[in-house]
Amino acid sequence: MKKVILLLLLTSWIGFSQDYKLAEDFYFAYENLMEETLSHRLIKHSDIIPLIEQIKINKDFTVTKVGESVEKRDIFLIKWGEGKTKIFLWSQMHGDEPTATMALFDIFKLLSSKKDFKDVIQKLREELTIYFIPMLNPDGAERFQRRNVYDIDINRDALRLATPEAKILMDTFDSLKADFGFNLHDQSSYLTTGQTYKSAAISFLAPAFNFERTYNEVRENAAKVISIMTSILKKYMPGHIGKYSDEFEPRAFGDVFQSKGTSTILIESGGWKNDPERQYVRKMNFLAIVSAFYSIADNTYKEAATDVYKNYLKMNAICTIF
Amino acid sequence: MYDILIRNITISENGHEYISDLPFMINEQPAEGEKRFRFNTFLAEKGDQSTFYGYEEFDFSGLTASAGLIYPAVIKTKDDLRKLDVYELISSGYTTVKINWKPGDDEEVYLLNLADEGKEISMSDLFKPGRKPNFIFKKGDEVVYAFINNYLLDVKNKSTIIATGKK
Repeated sequence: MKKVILLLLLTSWIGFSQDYKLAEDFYFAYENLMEETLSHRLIKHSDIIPLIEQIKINKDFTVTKVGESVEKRDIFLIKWGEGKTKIFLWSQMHGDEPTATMALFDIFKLLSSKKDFKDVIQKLREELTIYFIPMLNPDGAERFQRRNVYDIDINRDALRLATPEAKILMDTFDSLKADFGFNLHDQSSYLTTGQTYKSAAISFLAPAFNFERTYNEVRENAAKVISIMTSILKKYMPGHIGKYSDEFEPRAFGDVFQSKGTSTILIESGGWKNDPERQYVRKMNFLAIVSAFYSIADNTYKEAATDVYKNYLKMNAICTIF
Repeated sequence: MYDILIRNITISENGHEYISDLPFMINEQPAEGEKRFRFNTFLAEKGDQSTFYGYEEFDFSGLTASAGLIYPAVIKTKDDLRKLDVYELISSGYTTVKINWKPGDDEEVYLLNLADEGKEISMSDLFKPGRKPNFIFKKGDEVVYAFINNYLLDVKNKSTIIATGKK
C-alpha cells in the first residue's frame, strides 16, 4: 500500500516537474512566439481582423462568424484541435479589458508554429479541441469602454440576453458544451493581494454557482486548474497572484456556465510595476493558459490540490474610496 | 495601492501646518482619434496612508509642501515661453505661467502649468483630494522638489523623477 502511495506521489510530482520545465521553456521562447503586431491596450477590431484573415488560411483552424455586435462588427469563433476534451475561451467582453485578447493571438501563433514545441502542440491537438472568441465586445473596444453600445454590462446580461454580444456568447456556449471555460478580463491596477504592497497582477476565480458558494465536481475542477496555473506563475510573479471575490452573481456568465456544468475559470489581468500596457501580464496570461491546456491534455490537473486556490491565494484588496 | 505615494510630508496651507501622506492616482483617457492615452494625475486621499502602498513611493519627512505661485508676467509668444528657465522659476516657487494664447497639445509636455491669461485661476484648496498636483516641496527655505501636473521634479538636480505620459 505504502509503495502505491509513493508511486502515486512520484508520478504526480514527475508530471508537475515536466509542467514547470515546459513553462520555463515557454517563458524564454515567448518573445519569438508572440504576436508582435499587437503591442498596446488600445487595440481595436480593425487590428485583429487581418490576423483572423491569416488564421482562416491555416487549415489547422476553422474560423466561423458567429454574429455581429450592435454596430455590425463581426464576431468570430476560432476552432483548433481534434481531441475529445473541449475548452472554450472568450476575451474582452468588457471593451477596455484587452490584455487577454493579445495573449490569445500569441496562442494562435504558437498553435500555428511548424517548428517550435512540436511535441507539445501535437499532444494538445490529439487531446483537446479548443474554441476561442477573441474580443467579444468590439464596439466597447472601439471606445475603450467597459460596456457595449447600449451601455449594458455584458457580464450582467447572461440571463436576459438583451445585448447581441451576450446572445452570441450564450448560443456559442450552448452549442459547444465545453468541459472547461475561460472568461478573460482585466482588473484595476490599484488592487493588491491581501493587505500587502504587491499589486494583484493576475487574479483567478472559480465562480460560484449558488449563493452558498458550495463546491461540486465541476467547480472543483476549475479550482484544480487554477492551482496548476498559480504554481506555474508564482515563480515569475511571487506574491502578485490574487483571488477574485466568489460572491455569487446569477447574471454573470462565469456563474451561469459553472452551474451549467462547464468548469469555468476567470483570469483577471491587473497591474505590474512599469508595465502600463500590461505586456508582461499578457505574457503571464499566455503562460497560464498554455499551462492549463497542457495539464488538461495530460490530466495532471486532476491530482492538483484545490487548497492552493481555496486557501493559499489571498483575496484582492483595494485601498481607497474609489 | 496608489500610483504614487509621498509619505510624511508637512503641509502648509492657509496658515495651518499638519502632517499628511499624499497619495496620487493617474486617470487615463484614450486620446481622440489616436492610439495613445492622455494622463491626469490627481490627489486621491489625504491623511495617514501607512496601511497602503504605491507603485512609486517617496519619504518626504522633514519637507514642507505648499501651493506653487503664479509667475507675475504674462508670456506673449511661444519663443518667450521656450526661453524661460523652468527650473529657475520653480526654485523661486513658481509653478504656473500665464500665456496670452490658448494652451494646445504642444504644451502638454511642458513642465509648468500653462494658464490662459484671461481666466481666473484658483490657487486655494490645492490640497483637496481630486485636484491635480501643483505643489512645491521645501527643505527650510529651499525648493527641492515640485509636483506639477504629471511631473514630479527634482529641482536641485533639474531632472524629472516621474514624467507620466511624456513623449
